[in-house]
Amino acid sequence: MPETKPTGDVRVTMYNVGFGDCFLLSFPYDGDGDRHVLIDCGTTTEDKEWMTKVVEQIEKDCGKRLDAVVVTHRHQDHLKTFGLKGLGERLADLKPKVVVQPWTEHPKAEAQATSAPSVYGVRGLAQIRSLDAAQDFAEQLVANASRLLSAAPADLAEELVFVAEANIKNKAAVALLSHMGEEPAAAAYVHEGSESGLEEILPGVRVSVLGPPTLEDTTDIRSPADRHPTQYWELGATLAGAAATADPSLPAKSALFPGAPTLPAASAESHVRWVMDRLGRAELWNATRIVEAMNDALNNTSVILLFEVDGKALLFSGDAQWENWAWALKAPAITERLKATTLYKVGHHGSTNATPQKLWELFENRGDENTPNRLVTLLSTKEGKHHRVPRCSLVKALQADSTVRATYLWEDSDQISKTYTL
Amino acid sequence: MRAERELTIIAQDPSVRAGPSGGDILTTKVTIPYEDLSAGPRGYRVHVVDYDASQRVFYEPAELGRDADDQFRNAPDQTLLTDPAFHAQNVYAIVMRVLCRFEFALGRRVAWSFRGHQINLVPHAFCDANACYSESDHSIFFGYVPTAHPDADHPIVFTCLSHDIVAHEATHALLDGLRDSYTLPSGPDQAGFHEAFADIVALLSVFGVEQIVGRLLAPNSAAADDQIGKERLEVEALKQSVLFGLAEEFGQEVSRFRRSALRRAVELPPDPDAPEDPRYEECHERGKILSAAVLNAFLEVWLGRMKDLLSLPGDSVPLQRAVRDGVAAAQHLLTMVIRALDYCPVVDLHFSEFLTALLTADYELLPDDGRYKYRDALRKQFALWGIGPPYILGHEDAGRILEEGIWERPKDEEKLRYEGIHPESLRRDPDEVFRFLWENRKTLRVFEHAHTVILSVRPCLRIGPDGFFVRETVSEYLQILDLRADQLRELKINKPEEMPGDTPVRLYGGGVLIFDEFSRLKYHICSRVNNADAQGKRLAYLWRNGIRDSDGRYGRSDGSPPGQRFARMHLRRDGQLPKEEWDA
Ligand SMILES: [Zn+2]
Ligand SMILES: [Zn+2]
Repeated sequence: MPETKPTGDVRVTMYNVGFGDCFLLSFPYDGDGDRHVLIDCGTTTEDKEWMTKVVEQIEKDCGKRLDAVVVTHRHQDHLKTFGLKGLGERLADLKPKVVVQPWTEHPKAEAQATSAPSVYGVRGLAQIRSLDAAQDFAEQLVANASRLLSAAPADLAEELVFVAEANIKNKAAVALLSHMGEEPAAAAYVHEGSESGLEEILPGVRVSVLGPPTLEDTTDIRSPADRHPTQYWELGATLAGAAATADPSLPAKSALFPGAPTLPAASAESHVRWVMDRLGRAELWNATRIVEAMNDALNNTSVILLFEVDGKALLFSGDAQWENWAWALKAPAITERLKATTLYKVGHHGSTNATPQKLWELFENRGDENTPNRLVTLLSTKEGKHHRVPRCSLVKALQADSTVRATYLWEDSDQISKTYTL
Repeated sequence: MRAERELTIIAQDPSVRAGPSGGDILTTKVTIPYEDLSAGPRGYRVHVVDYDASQRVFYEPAELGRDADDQFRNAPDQTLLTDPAFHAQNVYAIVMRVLCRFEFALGRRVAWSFRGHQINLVPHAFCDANACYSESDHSIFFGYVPTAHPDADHPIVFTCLSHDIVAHEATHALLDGLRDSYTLPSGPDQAGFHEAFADIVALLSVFGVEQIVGRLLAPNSAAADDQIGKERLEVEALKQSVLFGLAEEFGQEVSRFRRSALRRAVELPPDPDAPEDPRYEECHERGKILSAAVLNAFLEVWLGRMKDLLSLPGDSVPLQRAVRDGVAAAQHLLTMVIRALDYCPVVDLHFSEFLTALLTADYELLPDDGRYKYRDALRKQFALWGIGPPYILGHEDAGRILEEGIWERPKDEEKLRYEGIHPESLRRDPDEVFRFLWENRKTLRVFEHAHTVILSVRPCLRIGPDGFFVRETVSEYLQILDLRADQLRELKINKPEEMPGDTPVRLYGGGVLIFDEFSRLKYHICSRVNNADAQGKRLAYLWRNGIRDSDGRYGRSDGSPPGQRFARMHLRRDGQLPKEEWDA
């Protein structure tokens, strides 16, 4: 291959997918056209027509040819489109040469596998199994949505179902992504410090993987697998499944004590029924918290990529939260480079815990409108979807000290995409 | 008709075995008052409701029987683990035991914080690694989780089978009944108090079980007439075997964070600057100061009790004697700790005041500190943490002082007016007490421009270790003042600098009035609603930590949804709630 050099420009296209992420990075090369990297293509909307328009726009923007796809992590709002019938195939037809995903998606590290690729170790395998089982649990909750939604208070139940839905395993998308690269070897499963898989595609652009950490990296990253072992999710899913079909007029069979005598819930005296009702609500709080913990765990598998070219530094972190960032923020060689960030894709749609203050304070290009080379921040979100995003004090800080590009603030809500040249 | 009922419980939790190298689950028998139980069991203070919300299963209520027979005496482990009726018995018996300890210590009946006499105990509430008291649900919920050890004998861990967890939750409920204002936003001490107090009572309750103390002291000894080497009864050795040992057993599977919290409380090197150290501002860190001081005092008193024993010739002493001294020290200290609640302020509690309350509670029954110098040990251990009695000689409120570190008599007590007050009514009638308070508001320096209400009037009969008894009446009042932040200046209270002037803030004040058997005021333990210094510090703390309700008001609540306060407190302790980086 003849040596080809990037011009140093970068175009970033943001697609309005509501609550979710979808970005196209285009790197022009001298005399060799553009190289296109799609980072995520997810949403929480049910509006397939809208998503069809998004995919059409991507096709147009990349000239029907993607060089690489990065799927930061396994959440619906980052990969749903790959699983939508017709649209996933259209994205696959863009024939990316490489598909980059976090190490936790490694097919050899699937739940059934008895051994994981050696770098991930035993704890890594437990982690993956636990994430997998957690998704089954989420699925049971969603299957159970009507029961949950009928319990008060409604906003809590809605929040629960919203988060649970985002955590359902999108089998179609996962399957498509696992063989979407032109050849199987073109799949890159990355972790901090590993190669990005984009080296050949983006010569002259330095692409560094800053996350996710492997569990061996540091002992103080408390793995969700420790907190919620696979057995926990499995039992949770079994119970949720049983609860969904329980008929209060019949005695239910206990999965904990198979022989124990039980009574129909409906037969309890009124005071006991009051306690049952209260307990149902308490359980709803538990379920919400558990689902959010699971949500955090998946967010922390997000790939964090730093693209550096011609003095520009673009930072894409999916929904990485503190535990994921911890590794990168501990390495002086990396924090030094992060200081020069020129574009930051705001983590987790603006939630409080995905942009560590320590990271934010590193950015030296922060400042008011007159700041030369002022930091650009990308915020792809929708208000009122998820109670934790976008967070007020973070948004205030972004607006004060950076040029904010936010889909939810676009004046024309029918606008599919916007492209910014750096 | 029997007066008592003896019931089998699991001594600590199912992982604690009877023999040196395994064996059966270690059980013990507890004695509680006999009552005519309905199915559940459902008695006069406790109602076990065995409903599992995660799988929506309602277990048949357990019948413990009308005769006082213990159905689970010598039951095999399999039954203990898999019979929900035993789980119901276990929570019933432990909660009743803790309740009886409170009633004994306080010398009167103790009410729950909600309207109602029977608290609901739900032994298999849901699949979750948590147990919590929920005041708005009138309940204690016990969760269960699958064990993380694939090779475990039994796949599920039940929080309802852990003695310390059940006792801890019962304590939250009882403390809330006695001082429901301790869940209000205050300073770091009060925030740390509920959790530390529940841990201390749970620990000392478990130390009241001889089998447990024996096993911790001598894990390899099986026979009752064994000897124990003197070197194992030295302070460091006891710390290792007993305190760390128990911390190790605590919540082994349910919450390793809880375990390490207890471990750390014992391990922490005393630091007299801790109260001012920002590292101790977080409520669980703060609570460790209190746990550490009380647990170390426990060791000191225990050692003091064994002095005679250890001075006998030879290298070893009878194990049983050492165990009995430990149990007796734990019992005495537990009584003090509980009794102290009656001498604690109603709002805005500080550890120094809890220390004073501990000393006063004991002084009232044992004016000369007895043989074993419990008060000396407590004074010393708290001092190591920089905590001393709150008063200073010549303090504006100070009256006569009877012993170092106990509450002073009311200032100008000779000026108190009792004319027109009926001594008999003062023992039970809130209106009578209010009349006394109002008539004496100037002498007692009670701020009259706040809403003031008498919360309770409780006559008590307290019995000392030598049978000596004291009759007292304990009455509490609460004061509420709602202001805008810019009105604080009128009370000379510093507003947190950046707090907007129109922010609604609530100040609390209040006090405890302790009357002697002739209905004369003995102590007035108060937190003044217009105490500029204390109120300013409290608001600064709330502002700094963003503790406000969902309407952005300061001082009323921490914004936890109803019923979730204790659940969240435990989850935060266990590291299960995310620490957010940006304010909402
Ligand atoms: Zn997302
Ligand atoms: Zn607690």
